[in-house]
Amino acid sequence: MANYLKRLKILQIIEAMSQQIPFQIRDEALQAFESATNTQELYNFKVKYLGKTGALTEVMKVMASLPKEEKPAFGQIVNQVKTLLEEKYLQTEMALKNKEIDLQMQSERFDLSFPIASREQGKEHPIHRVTNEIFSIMARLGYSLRTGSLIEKDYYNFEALNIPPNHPARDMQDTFFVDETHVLRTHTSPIQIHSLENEKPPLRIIGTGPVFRCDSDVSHLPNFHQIEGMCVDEKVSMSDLKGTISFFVREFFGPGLQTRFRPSFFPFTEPSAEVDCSCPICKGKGCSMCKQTGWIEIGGCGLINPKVFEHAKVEYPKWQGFAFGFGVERMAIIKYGVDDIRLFPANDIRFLKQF
Amino acid sequence: MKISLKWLNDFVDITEFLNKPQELADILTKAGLEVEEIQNRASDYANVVVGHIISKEKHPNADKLSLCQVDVGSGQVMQIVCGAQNHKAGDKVIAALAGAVLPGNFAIKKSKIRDVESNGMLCSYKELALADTSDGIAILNPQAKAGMSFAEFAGYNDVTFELKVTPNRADCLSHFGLARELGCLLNKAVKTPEVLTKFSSASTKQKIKLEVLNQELCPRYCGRYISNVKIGPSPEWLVKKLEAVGQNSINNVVDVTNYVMLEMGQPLHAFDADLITGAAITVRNASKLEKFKTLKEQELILSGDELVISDASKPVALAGVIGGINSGVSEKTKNIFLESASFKAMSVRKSSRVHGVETDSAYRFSRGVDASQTSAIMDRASLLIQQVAGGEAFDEAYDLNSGLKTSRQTKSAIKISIQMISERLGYSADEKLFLSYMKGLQVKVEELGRGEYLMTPPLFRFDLEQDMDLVEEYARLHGYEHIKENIPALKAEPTAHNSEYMMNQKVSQYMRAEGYNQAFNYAFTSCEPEKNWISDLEKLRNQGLFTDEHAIKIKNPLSEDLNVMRRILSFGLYRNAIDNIRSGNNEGRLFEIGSVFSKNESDYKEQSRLSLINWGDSVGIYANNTPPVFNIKSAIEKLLLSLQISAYSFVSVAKPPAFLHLGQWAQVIVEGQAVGFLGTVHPSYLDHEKIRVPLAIAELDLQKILKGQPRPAKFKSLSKFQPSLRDFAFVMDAQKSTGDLLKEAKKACGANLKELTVFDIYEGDKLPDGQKSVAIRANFQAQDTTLSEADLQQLSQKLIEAAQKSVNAVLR
Repeated sequence: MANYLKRLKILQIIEAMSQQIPFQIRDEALQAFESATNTQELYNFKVKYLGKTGALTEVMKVMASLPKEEKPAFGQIVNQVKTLLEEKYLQTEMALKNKEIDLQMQSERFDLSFPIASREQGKEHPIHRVTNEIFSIMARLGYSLRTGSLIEKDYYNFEALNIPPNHPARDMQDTFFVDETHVLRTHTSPIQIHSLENEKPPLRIIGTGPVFRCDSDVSHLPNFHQIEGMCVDEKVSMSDLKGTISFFVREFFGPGLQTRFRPSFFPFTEPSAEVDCSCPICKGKGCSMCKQTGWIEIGGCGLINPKVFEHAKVEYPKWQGFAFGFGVERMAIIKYGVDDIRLFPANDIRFLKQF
Repeated sequence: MKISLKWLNDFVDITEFLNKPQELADILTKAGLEVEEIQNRASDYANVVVGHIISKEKHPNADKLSLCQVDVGSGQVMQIVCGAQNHKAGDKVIAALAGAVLPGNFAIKKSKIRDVESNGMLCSYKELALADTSDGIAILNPQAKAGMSFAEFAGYNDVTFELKVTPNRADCLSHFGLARELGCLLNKAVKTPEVLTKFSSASTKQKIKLEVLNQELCPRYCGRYISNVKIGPSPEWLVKKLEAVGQNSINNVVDVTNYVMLEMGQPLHAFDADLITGAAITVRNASKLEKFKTLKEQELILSGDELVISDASKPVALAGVIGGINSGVSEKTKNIFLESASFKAMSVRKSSRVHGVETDSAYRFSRGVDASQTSAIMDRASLLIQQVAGGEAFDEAYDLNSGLKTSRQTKSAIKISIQMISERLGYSADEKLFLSYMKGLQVKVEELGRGEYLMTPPLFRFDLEQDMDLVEEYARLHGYEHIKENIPALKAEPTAHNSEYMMNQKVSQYMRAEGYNQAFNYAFTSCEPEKNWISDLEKLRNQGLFTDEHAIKIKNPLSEDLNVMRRILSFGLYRNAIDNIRSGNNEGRLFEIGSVFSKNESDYKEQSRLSLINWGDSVGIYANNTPPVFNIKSAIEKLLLSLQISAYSFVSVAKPPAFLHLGQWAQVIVEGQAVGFLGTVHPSYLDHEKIRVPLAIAELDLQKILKGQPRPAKFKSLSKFQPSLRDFAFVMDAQKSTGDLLKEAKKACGANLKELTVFDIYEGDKLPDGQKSVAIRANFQAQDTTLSEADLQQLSQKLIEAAQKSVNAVLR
């Protein structure tokens, strides 16, 4: 009887426990999770309550000694508690982790307020930049780029361009001589002659590169750059020339600018014209760049002189053409407002980095 | 050329423009005769007036100053303090009043001088830029009227144009010529100047013998003898006209020759007839080494190509250029021989250029002088000489013009049609307008029907030779503003761009991506400094950079600083870097793509080069302080890789160029060929320039590198298998090169070694002297399988053996 009583008591206790213990564990664990200040602490609690030797696992072991009919209910309770705790754990872990990452980022804070640019991108020299801009505008009209020798035969620099020896037109271009028959090319126009000799019309050519004049002062460099274009086709007129240059001016300097032709003289073109465009700085109102005239001279042009075709052995008037040329430094001065031409060959990086 | 509007007005009526010169300037500019500057002396001397000194007292506070009360017209009396001593009460003087701006941009204001009010300044001629020296203030003629503007008093009420005459318009190099052009532009009549028609009975031909030996260079020669001239100062009208266009008065006869040249465009010369030895003139070629002294006292030694005017014993003039000092007109001259001739343009230009004698005469002859007017203009000058110097103009003047047959005395006719003009201009030309322009230009018109014409231009228009010249005349006179704008249609396929240029653009782009700024240096340089920089030619050539032994000289350099074509590109960048450092740019990178020059027998060669320079340390907090020489090396490696070149190496055997650091340089080898160098600049070079920052430089032969470019990029499939990294540390002789080790290791391991990276090099206490430790990370990966541990073992072993074999390196 005593044994029976004893057994009954234990059963009662177990029964009581079986209903109470999972809930106690639940409450204790929830409290513990709540109290965790970091993920490690939280993890330790997870091991304590949900781990292989944790409280809940121990409770499951008790289930074996329960009466058969009570087992399902008990198991359900324990599983419910377990699911609840696992969910709660993940939630808490997420919150703690976010907090920890925030703290970590706080401690890793960089001051990004100051400039770094430890290695800036290098810049294109303004001369090349302008050349390439002009080149890409003209390429859209079907012009192809050509270059040529800097030491050029007198014939290509002068005679073939209708400037015979001792002709006063030679005075227009102060020339550096290398020997009796060679000069440092005074313009890029010899490129035209080589092209006329070596290629078959129709032709659209852009020639560019350094040129040389025996002239050096505040507004002239002895070694500067030109870019020029030549179009040879069956019927070519001054209107074609003006349309082409006007297109170029608007593309290069900006929309709305006007182009003006003034009569001039170049031995290799006839008729010849100087090209002015309305001043891109003041839009024609008058400023120091255009000397208050509203116009700015940008280059020369004209229809190719039949004598040039004759020298290059191109049949005229079957083939006709126009040509135009610009000083690259001058274009850069106008476009960027550079106030001293001597900055171009000085290569001061404070200057170069501006473009 | 300076043009006086008053003078112009003698020939064509431009009265309506005298007060609005800008309008006339615009008309000329629009017609292709550009007016570069309008000078108005009246406005230059605004507020400068004739003053009458009423009283002169001592300045109360200064011994050397005087206090003058000056009547400046309309009863206004002004107090002016003056420092000069040469004036007295009653004198007429030049007073600059408040508002005047004297030459040198000296503005006159009311002021106080030593506490006494002064309302202006009494001027000397020097202060008005009318004389080079000064002996006190200018004292004027007592008749001068107080209050009159000084410009009016001095006859400066003229406006002058600075006219830019293009070389084709020789016909406009005179007042008459320009008047003729204006006659056409303004549709006005043009007056022809008066000439001498009555001569004494004496004969020129009996006084002077004349012979033209070279008729080709002297197609026409006219000469007249004028006796008993009285040499003296020119009359005021002549002085003022010459002065207005910037010419000094010399004496009456010389002034007339200059005057007529400026008036008619025909250069003239007056010889002192009594100084012509043998009373005989010959126009001949100079003899070789013949001496001639110009009237400007320049001694010339003639080559024999020049044409000279000679007397029986010596040259008396360099034909068309300048007279001799031995035969010029002076105060002692009594009889003159007046020359008006036509000389061949190219010959005059050559004489003038070769001897560096530039004169107004040579300028005109070399552009062309109308040979049909030679005699008439001589008679124009004869008339004026008689008017200003008296004398007797002899009859039977010379006019030897047999040479004219061989030169252009008649212009050939030009065939042209209205349709052709319209086609070339791109708009419809008007026939009536065209004919009226031709009439204005004095072109002889012959109608052929159907809009076709035969045109004969006047002799003075040398530039009108072909139909296109007449097209230009039409366009110019009608106005270029009538030309429309049209984009011509493209009728043929565009051709390829120059490939070298396009490749250079790519190289430029890669260099800029590495932080290098593009530079441009002159293609010429100074011979000696470049020679010193190159120093040892062989050492440079050994780098694969062909360098000529001697630089190509420029025959007429601007200065010794720019006297030869460059043979090396890097020297320019080195100079740029030094300038940059001196300007405070302590860190920087530059590159340049450009040509160097050499001579090959009679041919000139231009080779394209790339040069880089990097100097200084970056001080930025996160700047990567790689030594400049490695920065440059890295840029070059990236360039080569970008160009799809993988077979390259950097070797430091043999000797570096003289300007490089012995221990920090390498030769760049691309596909077995030396293509240039890179290295730190030699410390003693830097020390010499007092440069204290590290500086490295490179130069590459771009032609060699870009040969066969652009190479197409070729796709290699990506390995899907696990890469494995293995680190190795080797100990090796410090002098041996790591590059050799890597090269051998790559060869030994083959395609499964994807990458080898040096991540540490150590020399120091923990190693024996002369040894270094090199740490390398190898990335092994196969294309078709995952490498097994055994494979990796085998590859590692191969790598270790290669290290041993190549540089005797031992695994640490």
